[in-house]
Amino acid sequence: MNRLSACTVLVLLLVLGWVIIDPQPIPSGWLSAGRLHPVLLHLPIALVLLLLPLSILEQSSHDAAALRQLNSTILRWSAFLSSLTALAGLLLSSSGEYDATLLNTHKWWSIGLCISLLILVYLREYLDVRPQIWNLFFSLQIVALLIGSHQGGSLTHGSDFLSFTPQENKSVMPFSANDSISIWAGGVQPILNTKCVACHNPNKKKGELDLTQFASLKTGGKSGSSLDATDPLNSELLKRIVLEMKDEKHMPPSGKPQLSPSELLILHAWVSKGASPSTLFKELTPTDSLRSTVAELSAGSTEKKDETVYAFDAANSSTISDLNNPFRRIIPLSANTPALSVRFFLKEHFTLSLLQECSPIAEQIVDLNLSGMPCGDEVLDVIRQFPNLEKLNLNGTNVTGKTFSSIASNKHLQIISVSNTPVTIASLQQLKGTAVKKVFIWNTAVSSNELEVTKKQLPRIVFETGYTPDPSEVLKLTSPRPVNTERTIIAANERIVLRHPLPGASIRYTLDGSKPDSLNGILYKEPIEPSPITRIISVAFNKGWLNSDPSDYTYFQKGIAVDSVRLLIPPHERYRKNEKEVLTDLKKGYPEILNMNWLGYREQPLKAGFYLTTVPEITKVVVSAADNTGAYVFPPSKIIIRGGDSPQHLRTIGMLQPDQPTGYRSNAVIPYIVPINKGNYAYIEVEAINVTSLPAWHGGKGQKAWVFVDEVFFY
Amino acid sequence: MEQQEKKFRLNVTRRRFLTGAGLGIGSAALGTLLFKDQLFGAHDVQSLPLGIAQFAPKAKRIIYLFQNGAPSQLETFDYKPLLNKMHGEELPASIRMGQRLTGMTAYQEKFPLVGSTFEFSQHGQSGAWVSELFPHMASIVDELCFIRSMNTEAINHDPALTFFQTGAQQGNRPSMGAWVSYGLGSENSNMPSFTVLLSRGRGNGQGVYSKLWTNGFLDSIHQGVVFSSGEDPVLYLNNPPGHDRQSRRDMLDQLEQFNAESFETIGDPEINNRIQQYEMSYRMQSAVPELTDLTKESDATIKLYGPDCLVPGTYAANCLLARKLSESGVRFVQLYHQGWDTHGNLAGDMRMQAEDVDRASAGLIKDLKQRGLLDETLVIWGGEFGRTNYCQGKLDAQNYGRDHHPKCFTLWVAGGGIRPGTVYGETDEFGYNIVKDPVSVHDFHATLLHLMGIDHEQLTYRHLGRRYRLTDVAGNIVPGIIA
Repeated sequence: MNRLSACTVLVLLLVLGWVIIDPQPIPSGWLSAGRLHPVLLHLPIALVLLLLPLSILEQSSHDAAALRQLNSTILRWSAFLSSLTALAGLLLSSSGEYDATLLNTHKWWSIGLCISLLILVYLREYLDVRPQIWNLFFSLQIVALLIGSHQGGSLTHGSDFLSFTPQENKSVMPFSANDSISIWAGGVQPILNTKCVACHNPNKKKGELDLTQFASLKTGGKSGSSLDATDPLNSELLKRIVLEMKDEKHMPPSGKPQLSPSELLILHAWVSKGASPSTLFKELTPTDSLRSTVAELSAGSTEKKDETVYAFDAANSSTISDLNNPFRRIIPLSANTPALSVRFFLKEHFTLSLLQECSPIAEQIVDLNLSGMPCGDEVLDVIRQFPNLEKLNLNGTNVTGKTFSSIASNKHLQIISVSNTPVTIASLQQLKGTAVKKVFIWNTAVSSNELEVTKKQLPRIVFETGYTPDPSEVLKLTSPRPVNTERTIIAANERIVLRHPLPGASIRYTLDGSKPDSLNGILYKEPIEPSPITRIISVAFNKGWLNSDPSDYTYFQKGIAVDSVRLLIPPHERYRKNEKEVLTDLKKGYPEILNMNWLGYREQPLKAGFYLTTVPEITKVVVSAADNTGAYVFPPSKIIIRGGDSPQHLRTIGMLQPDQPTGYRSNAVIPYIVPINKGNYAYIEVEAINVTSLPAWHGGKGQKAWVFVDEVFFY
Repeated sequence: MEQQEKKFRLNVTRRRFLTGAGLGIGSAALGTLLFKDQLFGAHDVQSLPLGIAQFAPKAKRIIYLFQNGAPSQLETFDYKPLLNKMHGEELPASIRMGQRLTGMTAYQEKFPLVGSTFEFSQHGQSGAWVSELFPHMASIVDELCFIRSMNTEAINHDPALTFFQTGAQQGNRPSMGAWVSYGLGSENSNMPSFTVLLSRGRGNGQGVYSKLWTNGFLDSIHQGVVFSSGEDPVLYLNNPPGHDRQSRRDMLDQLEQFNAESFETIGDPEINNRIQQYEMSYRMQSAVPELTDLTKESDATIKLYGPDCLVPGTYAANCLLARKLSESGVRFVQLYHQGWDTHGNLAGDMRMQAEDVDRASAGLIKDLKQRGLLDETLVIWGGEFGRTNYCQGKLDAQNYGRDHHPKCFTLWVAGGGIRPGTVYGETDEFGYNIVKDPVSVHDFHATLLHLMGIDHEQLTYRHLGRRYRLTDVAGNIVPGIIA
């Protein structure tokens, strides 16, 4: 006997032994070998079917020796593979998910198949039967094989799988929370029907469970009843659904549509209320969430029906993608309608032919937007060829509407927007007899008097005229701004440019700290030439407007260069970033943002020494300090300047006692200008002493104030 | 994307095949057995047609006027006369119900109730209550839908903002705008589909950060693009000095040839993305200047939005720019206006903040309406949470403050698909708890997506082994605000 056939006999004996002994339990590792069954089973089927033409060929051929050899090999392999398949099938069946009767038939039928295949091998190789007899046996084998495979198919796919009709065509009961309907019928069954019964129905009872009826649900399946009367929340029906996705017992199995949270909520609520098949919605309290959830789902299922159904066919998707480009966008209204919206972009690329090329989708266009495109009335001739157009946007085009009567052919056109166009009242009158219901005519040549008359003639149309400024309302101008507001430390030759965004507005400014208005102050004509410290207060004014609030900016020219800085007292540890550079880095800080542009002092005063690069003549020292009363940041109580040739030879050369605030005030950065004894100094020491006791009006009364300095200048 | 990836995998050159074959075939076979899902695609991902609405949308675009810092509902739209009657009295424990407070007031000894210092009156046919701070918004209440029953999970700015923008408090998730861009794609391929505009009021401010407009795990083309107020509204968009448009065109043409060649050999789809992004930037060079040019605005427009609209970087200018961006097909325009964090000096700060936003917010609605765009544009106005009905800090005759309050607050929505002239939801007489129709942030997101034609449960993205959505695992559509 051939070695392969011997193996086949061995496997078959194993199968038979297994069936008779029926060992339980089976090690779980073996179970997964059963998963090979659906893979293996196709091999013997294919081989046997392949043998059919080959054996015909063999019998009609003259020189058949080679073919005969091949066919024998194929037959031997089919026998071997089918017995392997049977073995795998046995392992798979022990998972217990299948209908028992059907399974039993399939099991014995398949074992029979394997044996008969072995017999065929024997017939062929040892008895050398006549072709007629062989053909008879072989045809019978094929018929039996087909029956066996159909049984297997019924097990996994349901016994109606050959006559399968898609679920959608069956009458699916919709969600409904009507008073007179039971929770079972209006809330639970719709869920089971869409998510469960495909596998759990009388024809295909996976796990021996049928979920089409309440009675069969209660009876349950292999794992017992789906409902647990004593402990409802422990019911099999719920437990399986909330198991982890990767758990084998999770239902619906992974890969199948899962229950949505609201569906789970409904099942949960129904089961916890006792899982009655007859409780009606009206027996629930009006605010019961079960009721509202079902109502929401039922609203959701009708929602999609609300969508407009268009009678025309969808355009070819390749036509749409060919027409789509950066200047012409064609977008379907949604995934389930044939309707299209068309828009144009970038006016310098617009041509009439871009619109004319849309003729292949003329039927599908329901929404057309030409806003901002440089086009005139010629587009109306093209637009009239779009029979299903509903909404047309011509804002900002040159369309005058002289030929508006032509769009009477657009029977569905309801909304036209011609804001910002030269459209006249005569054009609007032509809309008589069209389907148009709403027209947007803001900023057109139509006057309100004309419109009143036309409105009476066209009572079906709503005209939206939009905003017209109230002439009696006088608004305040915005404050003028220097062009450069970010960088307030400027080079010696830099000029300051003021600007106001409103065309025609004038600016007056002062440099002495006084407040300008439309009469007082210098009229701004040309860029301002600054002094070392320039405070510019400016207002804008214009006819028909209220004067602006003053804007207030201070600019610093870069002063005498400093070679190096020595901090004689270190800043507070929280504010000592970049401490060496901060005072001379030409970077100004903001009074609210006390960051690395600042040095902060509280326990001790600021005291720093500056070595100047040359020994120039100096007349004043400017200390720029933050003023943020809310954050305990006050002006220094006293600023002392000492100067000399070196740190060892110093004398006091200037002093200032800044005015202190008398209440909370807005935040600012204030330059304190300390005049000093004019002279040439190589080294200057600056001391800024913080307020040591906050005044009585302040929330931190009696505590120490902070001093923050961002920059020191020498002029 | 999946298609492209398959194409890329199939695009095998001889060399790649030979180098890969040795290890490749064996490991492929093993992989088939071990990692079925990864190799053959995950089966539980519903295939969603991206770049197109799932069902007919009621709105095509969103403009979100985010009032950052959280404006008080009690001084804006949620009128509570009882607080004025009980001014200075202690907040009853039965109302507070032990709710957690921020560290700023948790240790306060007293919680004195404080009534609004601003007068309220009813407006429009809907009779909505609006405080005197917002005369212009009051004039359009019949266009608006007030949701007075918003509530959130977070009590501090950063998590609350992040939650509102991304559906999660922790960050790293895609922003709403990114989700919308991912779901619906761009309407105008010459512009980004998600843009961000920033402004700062005169009140007490709280920061905004780029994580609020991040694309998270989505493709980077869905990230929000910030338009700044400086000389270059979009950074690096203009040609560098010395390069004109023609030389830029020539350069791009050459570059495209190289890129196309390298796509032929390697087949990486990112190369094509890059070519497209270069081309989009080139076209943006002509689209953007027209939008940001403020020199040609008519007098009517300036009065509609207020004179501030000519000053780049102000809220009014951003509202005007938002209208222009939205009108030109940007799906999601996100504004942030800082300065509403009124812990103290509420009376002063609120007035300044309201002055800055009232006219421009109402102007935006009117402007969209007169152009026929309000029906297809959804506008949202609101902050990240509400403010307490009790006073933070010192309650004196002139001034008071309010702390953060996540349990209820008011925002308004208007435009595409929204039921105009409605007031939805209700809080108790103390303005502390919601008594009717609560709307969570997830519910709000679900409703917005619904109006845009997207089922929030189906707009998912698989990342780190699970599917994510904007609404995470929650969110119910609020039918009461839908027209």
